[in-house]
Amino acid sequence: MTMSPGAQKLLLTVHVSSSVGWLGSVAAFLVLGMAGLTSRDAATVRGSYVAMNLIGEFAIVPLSVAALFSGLLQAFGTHWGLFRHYWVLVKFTLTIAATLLLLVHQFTAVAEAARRVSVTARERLPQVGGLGTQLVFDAGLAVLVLLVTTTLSVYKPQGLTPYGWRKRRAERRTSAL
Amino acid sequence: MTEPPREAASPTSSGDDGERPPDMPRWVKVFGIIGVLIVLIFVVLHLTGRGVHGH
Repeated sequence: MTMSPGAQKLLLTVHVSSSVGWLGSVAAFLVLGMAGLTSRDAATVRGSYVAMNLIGEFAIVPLSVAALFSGLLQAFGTHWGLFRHYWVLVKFTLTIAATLLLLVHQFTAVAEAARRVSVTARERLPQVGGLGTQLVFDAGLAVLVLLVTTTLSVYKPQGLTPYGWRKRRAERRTSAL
Repeated sequence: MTEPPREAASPTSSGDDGERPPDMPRWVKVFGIIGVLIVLIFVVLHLTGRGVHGH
């Protein structure tokens, strides 16, 4: 099934917007995580973790799901396919792993850090323990993964999978008849 | 993702005309090795007390 050129452009716009938005919101999350980890100011630490929870819940999670599904629709609606080219397959694997990990991450580590700072008395410096380091490490890793997927989308390195090679041969045989 | 695959435009440069499927490109193998290492670091970091329970 191949989509019309208009539908492909629309879906590409949705995919690029959500992917770039995802990368930008994770970068903001990383900055807040570093502020929360290093600041000695109680209001800054509290505000950072509460803001990280909000960014995660209302920006990162919806944008990641939108990027994943718009990418899947594009793969199935164009000649690229999902399993024909290594770059599409690698990008899909990275995206699905990042989406699943961040969903778990959001509703465990991020929510727990926000809860801990919220219950700390106003005059005391909130402590999130090892969660602070974990959130910075995970956000840094997420930025790296998203930069890799963006690079793959732009460069589209060559390489057909065995499945893609068989499909290509079958199509050529059909068109030669 | 909407432009046509390059292999379709230049079939002779892609190595997909033979009787056997082309070998896995080197960049995919490098990605695989790096990916396994990152997953290992991630798992080790989370299992050695820096995770949700590491406080």
